[in-house]
Amino acid sequence: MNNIILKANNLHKWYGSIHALKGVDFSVYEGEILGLLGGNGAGKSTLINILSGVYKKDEGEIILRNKEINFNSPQEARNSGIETVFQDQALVNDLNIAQNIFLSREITNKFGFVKDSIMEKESANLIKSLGLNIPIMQKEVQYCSGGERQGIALSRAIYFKAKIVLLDEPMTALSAEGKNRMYDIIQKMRIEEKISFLIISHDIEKIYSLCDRFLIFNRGEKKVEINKNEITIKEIEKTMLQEGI
Amino acid sequence: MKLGTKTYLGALENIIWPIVFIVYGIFCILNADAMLSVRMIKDIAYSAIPLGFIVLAEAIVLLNGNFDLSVGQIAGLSAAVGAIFAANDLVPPAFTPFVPIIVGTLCGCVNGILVGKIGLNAFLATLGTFLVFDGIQLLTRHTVIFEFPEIYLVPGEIWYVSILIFVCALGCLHIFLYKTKYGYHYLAVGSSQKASGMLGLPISKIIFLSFVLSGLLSGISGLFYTGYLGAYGPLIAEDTVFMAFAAAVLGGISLKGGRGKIINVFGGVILLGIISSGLTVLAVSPYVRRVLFGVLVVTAIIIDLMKNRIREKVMKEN
Repeated sequence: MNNIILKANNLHKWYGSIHALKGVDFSVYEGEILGLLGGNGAGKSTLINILSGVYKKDEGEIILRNKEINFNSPQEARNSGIETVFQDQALVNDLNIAQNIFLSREITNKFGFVKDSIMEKESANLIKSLGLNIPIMQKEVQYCSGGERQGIALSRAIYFKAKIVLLDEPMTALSAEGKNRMYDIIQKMRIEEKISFLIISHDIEKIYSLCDRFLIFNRGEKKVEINKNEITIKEIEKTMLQEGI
Repeated sequence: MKLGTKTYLGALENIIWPIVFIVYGIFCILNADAMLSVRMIKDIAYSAIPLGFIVLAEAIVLLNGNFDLSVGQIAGLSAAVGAIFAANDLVPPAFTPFVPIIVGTLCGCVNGILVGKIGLNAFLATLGTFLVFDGIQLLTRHTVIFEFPEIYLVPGEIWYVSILIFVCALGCLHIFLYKTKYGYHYLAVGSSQKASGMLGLPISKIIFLSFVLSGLLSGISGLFYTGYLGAYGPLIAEDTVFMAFAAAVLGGISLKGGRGKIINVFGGVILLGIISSGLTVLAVSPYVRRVLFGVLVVTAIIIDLMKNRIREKVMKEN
């Protein structure tokens, strides 16, 4: 097993009187793909939102590369190497591909002016390296396909050397071809860049082949933590049924 | 993207300029002697500048995905306070032009706090401040003031100074919006607050900034109105918000926010100048003018809608 890159101990989160996350512990290893499974209200999205800096945890600790972290904003999480690809990818429709990839981390000269041509060149290289065929980086993202949008969101993670990528329902908006391309991109990023992934999905069949390990959640608790080679899809489904998920 | 498509979309973004020439052409046909003179062309540009600053004030808020109903009232209140300070020597003459600008900026801060910090709906919040600023203006000064130190009137009184300052303001806004990272963040928030928030952009600060900028530009407008008229009157900048809205949208600023070239807003300003001067030359009654300007506002919205539909269609085909 590779090194542990992120460790969460006894994480708790309350929304008013609702206890959304109840003492969750887990570790993420370098270059692994970890699947987070569970029904609605299981706590998966809360966990992702805490790790991405959208929400603050109420109790517990998160250790990233041997250092305890406590994010106050998504920007802090991104600066620490945790990139999130949200369900709707957090892309700004009226900005072009290059502007979206570099949004909030633009390349500027010493006077603070944005270097558009460099950002476009870097974006073109990134998009090409992911196997996507988008010839013009000035294309506004609202006119990109679902697969292209996922690729654009993921390319942020590569360029800014993210160590962990959080994916919230990444396959939802994708065609069959888009899903295959997404699989390829994630595998490529894991192998070449040693990036770790945490993936939320309701679609067990789709992510089973992609993940190395699974965490199964129910009502804010981690119920099962298991390696893929120890469990089949049917057993996962059976476990989830037994847990009432 | 094919070159033809790019050219087509570029033409669509700059549609204000053909509209300017067509409208000018129509007025030239109706009264060639007056409309074709060099003096008239100069007057069209010069007379549009005070309103032009209000158009910029509205455009900057629209670009951020909001709406400001109080821009005209901020200009009026700024002009009133500025006039009192200037006419009564309450500050040294050299500082008098800054008074309306400071007042406008403070009014913008109020709107910015209400919308950006407290999170009120921009339309409703600025509807409230519209009444507040209007009332304070009339409480402050409801009669005309003529006596000013010369320096207070210079920016709006000398036509080339007026136009030059406006062009500089336009240039600065263009550089800020399209050449700096802060401008990118500003447009991103205007286009999608949700996505911008997920990426950690400081949304409430940016919205606050948009209203402060808008207030500052409205304050400048108050100063320029006083200079242009050579006097302060309580009806300064009254009823300008809808004109400003129409000019900004005709200039290509999207009603949805996040899209538009601030430079093209100049086209919208010139268009208003042409229509206003043309109607004056043709001695059109104030009531008919009101109807025509109402039609202009609706036309602006229709053009914005059509542009969006055409752009969408063209991009989908490519």
